[in-house]
Amino acid sequence: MKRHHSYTIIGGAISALMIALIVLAMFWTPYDPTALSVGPKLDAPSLAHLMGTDNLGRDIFSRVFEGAGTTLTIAVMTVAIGALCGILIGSFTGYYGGPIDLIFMRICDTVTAFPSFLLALVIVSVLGPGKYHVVIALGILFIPSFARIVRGEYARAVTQDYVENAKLMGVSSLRILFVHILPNARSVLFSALAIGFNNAVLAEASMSYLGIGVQPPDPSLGRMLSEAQTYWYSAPWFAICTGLCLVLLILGFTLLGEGLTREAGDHA
Amino acid sequence: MLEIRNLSLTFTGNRGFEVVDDMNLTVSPGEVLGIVGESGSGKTTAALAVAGLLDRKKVRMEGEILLDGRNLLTLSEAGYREIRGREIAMVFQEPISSLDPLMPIGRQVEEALLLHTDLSPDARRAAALKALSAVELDAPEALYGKFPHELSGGMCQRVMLAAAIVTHPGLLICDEPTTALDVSVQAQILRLIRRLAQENHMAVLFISHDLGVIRMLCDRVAVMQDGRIVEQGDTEDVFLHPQDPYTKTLVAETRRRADFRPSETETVLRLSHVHASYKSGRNSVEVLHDISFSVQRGEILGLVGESGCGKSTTARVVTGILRQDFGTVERHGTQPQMVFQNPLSSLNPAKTVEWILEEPLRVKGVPKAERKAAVREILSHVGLEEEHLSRRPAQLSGGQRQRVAIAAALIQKPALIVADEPVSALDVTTQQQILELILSLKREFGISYLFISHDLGVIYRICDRVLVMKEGRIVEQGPVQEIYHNPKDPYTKHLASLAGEIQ
Repeated sequence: MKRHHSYTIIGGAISALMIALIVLAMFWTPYDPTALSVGPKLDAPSLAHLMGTDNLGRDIFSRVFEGAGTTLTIAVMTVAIGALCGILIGSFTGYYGGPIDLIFMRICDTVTAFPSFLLALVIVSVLGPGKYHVVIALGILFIPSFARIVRGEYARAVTQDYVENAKLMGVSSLRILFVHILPNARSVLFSALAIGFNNAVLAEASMSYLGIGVQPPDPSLGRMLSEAQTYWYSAPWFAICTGLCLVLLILGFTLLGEGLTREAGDHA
Repeated sequence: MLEIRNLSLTFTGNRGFEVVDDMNLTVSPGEVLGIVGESGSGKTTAALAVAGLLDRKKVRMEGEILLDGRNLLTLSEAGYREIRGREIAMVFQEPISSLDPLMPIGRQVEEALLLHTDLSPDARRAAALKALSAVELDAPEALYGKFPHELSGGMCQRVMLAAAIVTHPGLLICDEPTTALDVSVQAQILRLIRRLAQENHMAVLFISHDLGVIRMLCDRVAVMQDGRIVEQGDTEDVFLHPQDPYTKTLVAETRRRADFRPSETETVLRLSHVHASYKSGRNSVEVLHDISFSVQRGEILGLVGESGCGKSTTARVVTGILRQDFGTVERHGTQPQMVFQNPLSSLNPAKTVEWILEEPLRVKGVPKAERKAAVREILSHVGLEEEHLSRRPAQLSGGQRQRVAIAAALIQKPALIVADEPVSALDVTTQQQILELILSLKREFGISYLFISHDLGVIYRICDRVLVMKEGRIVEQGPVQEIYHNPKDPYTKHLASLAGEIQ
């Protein structure tokens, strides 16, 4: 019946593979990701250790997917906070306009005016390092971009006759906002979610790389990259495997988001 | 004259069935005989048999069809070709599809002469022009070279009649020739057919599902049901004293519709001295100045004026989207509903037709089963099929979308529908169908409309009364016939002349 865009298919396949491995890693990994010396230190990839071992003799394959799981969880929570708050703020401001709109949009402008990563660093420095603090910091920073996009869609929808028609039917304002108009914003939301998700993955990786994100001994892609840097010449597979995992994670969701956006665009 | 004796028509093939059973009819020259019945009653098949247009391999024909004493059923196909177009002419329901879109009007009228006579081109042209003026078309010379798409539906049907009578046939068969036309044009065409029959001593076999139309035109009527003539006689007799039970229901139905006139006592909307304005920041612009009017139950009130004259603002005040500054708006019955010009904007693009139609009931808390039933019920009234339910607005044609928009308004059973330029974005044929729909819903449910248009021509076709608006004031109002034919205000005269030019 419905033919999918090739981006959706390729992106979906990559994402599905990555998520399957990540979910698998939550329950079972070939070795305990935090156990030291499960093999020789900095051993090259072999059948026993698919991606080799790191400087402490830990299995990189187990750690990469355990770490990707941490990254994914943080990214999902971040985007969820950003998107939910963004949709709430954007829908109300776009639909009602007026002073509320003005105030919220100026706040968003102010937040956006700072380099977001710097601001995240400040927030985490104040709250202290840790997984959930990263989520809160990034989540807040993501709100303006969602709010702005959603607001634009709602401001456009208000001028459409179907909204006026809904009012004449006696539909409540909340129902107009979230049942009538929201589905029309889905094509922009899909792309915003995909972009936001990728930004969140990168931001988390960067913060962990700098040592203020996920704390040891929990694995994280960012921190593993930072560790791998030291051993680039002696054990290149360490950095390559970790980096590749990060790239595939982002590529999969980018393609998926782009494909879904185009499909939604076709239907609108 | 035409005489049909014991005619039976049976479709052969593996599931053979009888379509017409033992039919007996006579039509004298100058007489108009109506055949009335539902679709599937066999009336069209009988007419096709008379015209020799049935495939003899597929239909077994018994009995006699006598035209001036000759039995047509014994004719060969070649023999029939001689008669068809010269002695028997036909006019069908859809003039647009009966006419060749690529051939000039004049040539199509001449066609029968070309086939059946050896007149010179000049004589053919003269005959065609004569036929065109006989069907009351103005300036036949100018029409001669025009193409069907340049003409209105009513004009096309006149052209079909001209093409039919150009050979002076003894028998004219009309199959629902006015069904696609609006009421006022319909009446003109019926009068024309009657005149042509009398002047040319032509026998007319007139087929229609509408007894009201038959009554306006025919001397005698035959009522058909399931392939049989159940009653036959003088039209007035049959109408006043129907004998057969089927005829009785048909008559009752026709009376109910004909009796429907706007109520004189029941007002659904009254605006008194309404002023309204738009505010932007500290500025306020008054758009409506002292507007007063009322809409009766079952009435279509037209509101005509140029864009920017305050028509849509009036609509917004009527529905309550915009509050008036002064004056009163009294609405009786349920919340008025709106039908907008562009259904792509008035129907939620992200939802299916079914969802859109169910939504008004859903917000009122109607249970799911009742909602589904109501949606299916409304579909049949607005001419949509169940297959359309799963589609989104973008997957429908412009006419279908507007039908959905009308259904969505209708399903809430409003007393008043405000239609803001509902046909302006549609092509002529679809426009016609939507206007028909609006009229039929008025008759069926007694719905009142405030019908807004910039085009007095469209207003003329369906409205009972009309308001003329200019710069936020009502400059003239009255019955539509009077405003259209006898405008007083200079601005109304201007609008009427515009509408005349377009038609």
